[in-house]
Amino acid sequence: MTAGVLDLPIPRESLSRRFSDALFRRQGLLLTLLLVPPLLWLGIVYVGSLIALLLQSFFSIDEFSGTIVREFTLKTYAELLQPANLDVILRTVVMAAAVTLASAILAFPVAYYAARYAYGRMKAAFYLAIMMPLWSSYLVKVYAWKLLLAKEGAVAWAADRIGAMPMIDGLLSAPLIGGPSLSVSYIGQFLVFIYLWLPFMILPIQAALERVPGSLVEASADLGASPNQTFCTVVLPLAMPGVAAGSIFTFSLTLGDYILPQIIGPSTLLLGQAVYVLQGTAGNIPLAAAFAVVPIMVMAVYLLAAKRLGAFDAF
Amino acid sequence: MTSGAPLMSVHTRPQDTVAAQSLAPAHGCAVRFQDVARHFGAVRAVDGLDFDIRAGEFFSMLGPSGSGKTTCLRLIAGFEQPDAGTISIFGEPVAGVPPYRRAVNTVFQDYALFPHLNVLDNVTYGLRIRGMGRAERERLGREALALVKLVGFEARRPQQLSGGQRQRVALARALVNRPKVLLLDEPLGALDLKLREEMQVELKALQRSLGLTFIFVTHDQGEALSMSDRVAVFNAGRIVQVGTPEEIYERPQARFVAEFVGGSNVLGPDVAARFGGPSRLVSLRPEAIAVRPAGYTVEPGRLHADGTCIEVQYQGAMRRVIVDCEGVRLCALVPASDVRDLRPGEPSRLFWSPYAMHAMEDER
Amino acid sequence: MRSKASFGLKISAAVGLLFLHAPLAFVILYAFTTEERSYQFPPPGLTLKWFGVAWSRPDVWNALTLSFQVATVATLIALVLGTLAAGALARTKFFGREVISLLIILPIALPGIITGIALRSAFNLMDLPFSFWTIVVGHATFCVVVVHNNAVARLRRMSPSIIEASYDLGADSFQTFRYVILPNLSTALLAGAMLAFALSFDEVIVTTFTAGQQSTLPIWMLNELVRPRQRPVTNVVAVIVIALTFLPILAAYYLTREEAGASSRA
Repeated sequence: MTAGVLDLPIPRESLSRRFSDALFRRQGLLLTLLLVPPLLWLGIVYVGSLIALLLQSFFSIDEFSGTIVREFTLKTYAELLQPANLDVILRTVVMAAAVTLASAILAFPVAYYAARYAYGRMKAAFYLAIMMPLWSSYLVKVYAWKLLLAKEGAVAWAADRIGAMPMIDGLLSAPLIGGPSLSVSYIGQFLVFIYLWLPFMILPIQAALERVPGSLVEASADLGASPNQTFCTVVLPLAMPGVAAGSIFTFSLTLGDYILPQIIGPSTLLLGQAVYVLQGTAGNIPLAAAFAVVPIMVMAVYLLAAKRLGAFDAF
Repeated sequence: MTSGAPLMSVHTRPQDTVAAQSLAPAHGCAVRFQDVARHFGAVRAVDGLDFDIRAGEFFSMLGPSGSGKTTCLRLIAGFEQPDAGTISIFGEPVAGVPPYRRAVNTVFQDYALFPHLNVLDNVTYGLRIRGMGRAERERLGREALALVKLVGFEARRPQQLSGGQRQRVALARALVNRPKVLLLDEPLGALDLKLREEMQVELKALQRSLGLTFIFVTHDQGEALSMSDRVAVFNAGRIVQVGTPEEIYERPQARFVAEFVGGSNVLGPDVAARFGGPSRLVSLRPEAIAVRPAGYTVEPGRLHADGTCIEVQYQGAMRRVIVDCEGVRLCALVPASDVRDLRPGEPSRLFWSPYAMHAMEDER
Repeated sequence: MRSKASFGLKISAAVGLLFLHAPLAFVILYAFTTEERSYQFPPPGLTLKWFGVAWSRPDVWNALTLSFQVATVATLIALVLGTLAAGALARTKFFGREVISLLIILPIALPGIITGIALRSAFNLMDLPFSFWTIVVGHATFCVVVVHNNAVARLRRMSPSIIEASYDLGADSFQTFRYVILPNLSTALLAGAMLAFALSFDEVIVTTFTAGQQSTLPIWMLNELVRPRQRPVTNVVAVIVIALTFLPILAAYYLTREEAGASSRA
């Protein structure tokens, strides 16, 4: 087609213009070209690695030589079901569930306030106040709690000042979750897990709550519901997709963490540590791989359930 | 200054119009649709489109939303490709020609101004792509801004402009490329009434003075009738009628046109015959009907019907009167003084000239 | 429309925020303590000398340099891959689209240890020695999603008709990308890059599996946490890390303020 009018210059017939013509004539060519590099990377490098991992969980380790036997077997998975290993899995899942539940309870008021009552500059400040801890260094955050929970640290000092020391000692003397001090007990570990993942819970709940139109709350009040009834029958159900979305993070992150349990908590292993120790010092890659499949499976089930709750609309 | 007038068609049937145009030399035809269809899945956005748009005319595509008029415009611009049929622009088939190689420019419904560029850079974007030097393109850009009365706004950002000003920038940005055909997609839809009426006058004047082909998409029948040389009425992906505003308004060929354009009374063959007209599907304009009290003596040669007034709607100097005539509701648009004392529930007599009853094609 | 928040809600929101922020304040405080052997609170005295000591430690500098290099390269790779994926997914519908979205989110949705051990075993299977590049591969993989999410949010806010307007005015696909899409996308990409950089700079779990003998700054810190050598230097490094991640995150926020309300990390 010729250009519109003779006295305007005609665009140069560059190679890119010809190529652009081809993109227009062939539907899907552009899409393909855009998708190929990320798919190559994620599909081959990442999924390839995951599959390699999965495959190794079907190998076994020779008990005498300690070398890997590259033959298909379910022996490693059977080993996973031994009481000691099952114990690790169970302990980790319980911890993840407890952390998720506590995070949701603690996150809700912050998210609710940010979504419903904060606006303008206040809202921006709230957003930053939640984003900053979310993005700040994981290790520094863990380190902060090592400082705080140390015997000579700030928590003990403050508890001593207000006379709460007996209460903490009472908590620590509880069976199973207790321990000699906060920094080597499940209580301390639980506390720090909540601290680490709380922002991941607040943001999706806030996003979900913001999608609840104010008119809905007014309608409920107009129909005679008390504020508490409105909260329980309107706000809470509508916030559930946000809670589900947030719980994906809190659950998944707790399942896989192996750094925090090394630094704070008792010496018994959580799942992440077990994987780390098995693949590293123990050199038992097949069992480490089988262990690693557990959180994948747990998360797959979890994601399916969360999808039903509408979690993916809340991101 | 009235380049559009000689082009007005005298044909009444669309088939005739198309046949006559097909004989016209190619250079007189800006855009030609030959049996064009575009489907989205099972939805036929447009189907069996067969019409010509003449060079230099102001051509409106009128229809309700979803009737296919915007798809039609996008087919001309090249944003959509037809599934069947051929579109030619100035005689050249444009199958597979991307939008950036077409000598047409578009004024978008949401104006589509580039938010990262100021007004002048928006207007000169097309010239920059053509490789024109900065000084030259800015001179042309300022000229175009003068044409749409926006001198002094060069450095503003689109976000700092009002709706009407954005609309003018969009117009200048398209016109500066001197397109052979300008496509306008409901460009006045977002403006308030006063501004819209002003822009209607300005657009029409601009089109006359530039001698360009304007293809104007709208759902506002008043807009289409007041500005266009010819109007195509769209319904459900097809063109129901193409003609001058007079033809469309006074001699609708189908129930849809009669009702959509100006809200005509459409009477079935038996009702038309009962009222003394032909035994055909008939359109009767509200303003062709006079309203008098019951028993009023009608001049010889006029047709009349008696009924009960249902409603009198205030419309400024006019009143819209709805009368039930033995089960047939007729709507009349009359001067306020004619019905000053008329109240709903009162009997009244309607009358009209037999020539006001316009016979249409039977319904398909 | 909005009534006043109840007192109980205000208190719980404040407690939640305090819980999120107070611990980092202690890290900053401890960087100035005169106490060397323990985490004694309150600090017996305050000093600036540990900043000088940390400054003259070559191991800190090496770790910092490596982290910078890894984060830069990983961010560049993520920028390219994330932008391409965003371009393909932002406004299209096609078979398998959901699977590709899932694939992009997966590296941060799955526990980091899975990504780490999977990459490690793949490198082992291919007999690839651990190096700078194995760290980069791991980091780029989980950084793609950050760039992608920022770019997608911006592309969805962009009026699709401005791209059509560019074609309409004679620009081909490449000109349209350069003169219209890129300028409107740039702040979102910059923000995505900042966040990707912060994420990579801070990453420790995947890195422990892909690093071999090299130490990024987080690995250096982890070693100090598990086997402390000179606690005050660790304190100082922690403060430096806080500062270095704070700035890009703040910058990213200001670059994407309009979208901030609507999007989160994933």
